[in-house]
Amino acid sequence: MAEIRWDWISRNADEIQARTIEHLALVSVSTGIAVAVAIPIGIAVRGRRIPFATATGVAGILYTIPSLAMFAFLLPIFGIGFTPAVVGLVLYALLILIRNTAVGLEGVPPAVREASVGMGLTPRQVLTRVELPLALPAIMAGIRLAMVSTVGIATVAVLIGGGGLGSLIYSDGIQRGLFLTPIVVGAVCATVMAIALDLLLVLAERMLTPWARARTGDR
Amino acid sequence: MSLVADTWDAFTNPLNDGWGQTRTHVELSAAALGLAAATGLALGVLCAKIGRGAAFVVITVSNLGRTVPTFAVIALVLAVSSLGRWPAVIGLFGLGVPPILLNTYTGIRGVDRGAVDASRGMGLTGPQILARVELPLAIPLIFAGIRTSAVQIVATAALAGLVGVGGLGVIVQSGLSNDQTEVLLAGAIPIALLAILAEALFGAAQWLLTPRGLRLARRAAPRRPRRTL
Amino acid sequence: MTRLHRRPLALLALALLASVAMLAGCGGDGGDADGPGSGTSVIVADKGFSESRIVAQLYAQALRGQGFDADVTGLGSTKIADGAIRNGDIDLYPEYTGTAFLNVLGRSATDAGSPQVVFQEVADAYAGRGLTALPPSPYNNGNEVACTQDAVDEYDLKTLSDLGRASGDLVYSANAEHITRDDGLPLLHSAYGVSFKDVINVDISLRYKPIEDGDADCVYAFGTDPSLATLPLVVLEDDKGTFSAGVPFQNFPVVSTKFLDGLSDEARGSLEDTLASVNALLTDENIRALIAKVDFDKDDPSDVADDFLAENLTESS
Repeated sequence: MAEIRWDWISRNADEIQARTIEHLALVSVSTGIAVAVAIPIGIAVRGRRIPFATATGVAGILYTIPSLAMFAFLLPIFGIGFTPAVVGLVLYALLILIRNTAVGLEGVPPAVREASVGMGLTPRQVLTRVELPLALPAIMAGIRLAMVSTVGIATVAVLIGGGGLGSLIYSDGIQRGLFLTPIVVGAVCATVMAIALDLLLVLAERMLTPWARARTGDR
Repeated sequence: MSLVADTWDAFTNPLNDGWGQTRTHVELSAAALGLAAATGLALGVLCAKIGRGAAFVVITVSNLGRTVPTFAVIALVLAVSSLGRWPAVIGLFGLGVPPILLNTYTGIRGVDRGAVDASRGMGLTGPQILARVELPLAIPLIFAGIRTSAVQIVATAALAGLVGVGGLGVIVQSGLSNDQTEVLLAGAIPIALLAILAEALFGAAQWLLTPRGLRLARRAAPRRPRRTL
Repeated sequence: MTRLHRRPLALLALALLASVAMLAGCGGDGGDADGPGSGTSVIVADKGFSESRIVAQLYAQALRGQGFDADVTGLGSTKIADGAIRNGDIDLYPEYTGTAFLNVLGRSATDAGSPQVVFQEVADAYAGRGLTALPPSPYNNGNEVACTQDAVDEYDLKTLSDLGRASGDLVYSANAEHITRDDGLPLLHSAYGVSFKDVINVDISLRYKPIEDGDADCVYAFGTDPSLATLPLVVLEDDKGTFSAGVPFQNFPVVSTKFLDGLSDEARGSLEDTLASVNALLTDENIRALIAKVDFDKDDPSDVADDFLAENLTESS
């Protein structure tokens, strides 16, 4: 096992910090945009087999596009740097988000839905007051997965000049004959970031679903 | 039209060996997905049965497979082993576990307490409740996880081409580096098709495994409230 | 209920704001505005691998010395670098004559003439694409095949034709590009009868891993690979002059013509002179030593470039 070069870490402390901040910006902005795009799509295709299959199929195909090819395609429109990196990351995150939103909404018991209609709620009210809150655990699971996945995937931003931890892992690590230290440092920074972001989302979910806490109380 | 023909030529060209690479690609993906599904399901059930705090720890640890980019996972494994299938399978496995784990966990926790209490009242034991009530009711979310993992593993298995074990990624890589669109497509299109195939296959499996009662209930009820009501 | 829905949005907005604020806090430092560059901003790009990063750093730092405000940005491939410079996203980057000839212009290896002819053809074609090719450096990062000392001893390998004879017993490590490209393995096969027992297809950065692990006997090498000096490898002679000599891979700066035209005469002259004086220093020996510092000693490309320029680049003005 190759040893960790602590001197590299101390020499590059500023670089590591700057790359981590870039990475955090890439992850938070792209996950935020992806959520804003995917949840309405998930809502629109829920419970309808063909639109659901189309949406997840297209999102799945987008996910299979190699990042170098994706960025070569985005370059004429978005140039290089932060913007095309975010666009690519948003496209990669859609699959998980659309699917979990639609599946979560479909999981709402029909009886509950009928009851709300019977109570005179409009379709929009049924969606916002009954279906979305009940589907929230599944949607939040999707957001957590998308966020955590984006932390890993955002390393491809280095290919289009978007910086981030990929610059440590790829350029400083893999491209320099498997130099382990930057790979490990990049991996650790990504992991710590993912844990912190995930914790934030779990807390947000707890705040948003007070009834879940009440229920587990009597478990 | 000629691009289609060129792509097919590139796929069947012995130099690229499209069929052989497809086979390797499927083998790698299937091994990784099989391991990931078994692990994700087992850990997901476990997490649903232990407290929230412990579950968060397990989920966080499993998330490592995603927060660390797969190529870096493979590189780390390579640092202690030689080239071969295992580094690639381990990297893909790590990527595949979290969606299955988290969705299984969320699905089981979301099962209506009333249903569980009723089964307990009927005399079912804990494992019976899990097998006959909780898991079947969580099927849609569990399969959402498996389908997501399947698509992502198939897509990411292209990285195996970078560590000497072949797969369609080899063709993608040579298309990218030689800037030959037809070669790139000869690798990328089969990957996309495999992803769609995996999606459809697990969709069918999900339908088969969904309890009939649940299927009927869904069908009988109006999917969404109609405006005319 | 509306309260419920506003909260995640507020959280998101906060996260966005925080990240934007953090981003704004870490801008680059400006160059020395004195000198012929008079603070003109130059965006230099590299293609992510060590040699490219070192050369880009050398260009950028030398330009900073002339008063340009040069920044280096990393990109992932030739296609992206070429797209970015034509898009005006970057101003210059180091490229190889062979890569420009084969990959960018789509010419065939059999069309390639002498290094001078290839460079001239590249320069002419680039001019029509809004790009200016400045004269290349002396080093040539050419194609080579290297085999382990063991294999060389056992099979008495000296030349590529010897390899053609013995290759049925040997395993080769190479990247996908070389394995499929006309001037790569197919050329070795057709010109020297090379047909390996097995070919391990790896990422370009992992080519020497199977050699280190004892899984491969021969490897596709670049003339500047420092592993050629550190591993027990022997570079085979090209007895027919078809493979190595086929296409030259000299390093040259590609500059956006629009960017050049926007400079004052003085700044333009200074930029061209500076790049030329850096290029003049880039011999096979020098570039190999610089790469070894980055890949083996794990020194940072910017420090390596800084030291090298301090030692070698005398003030020309």
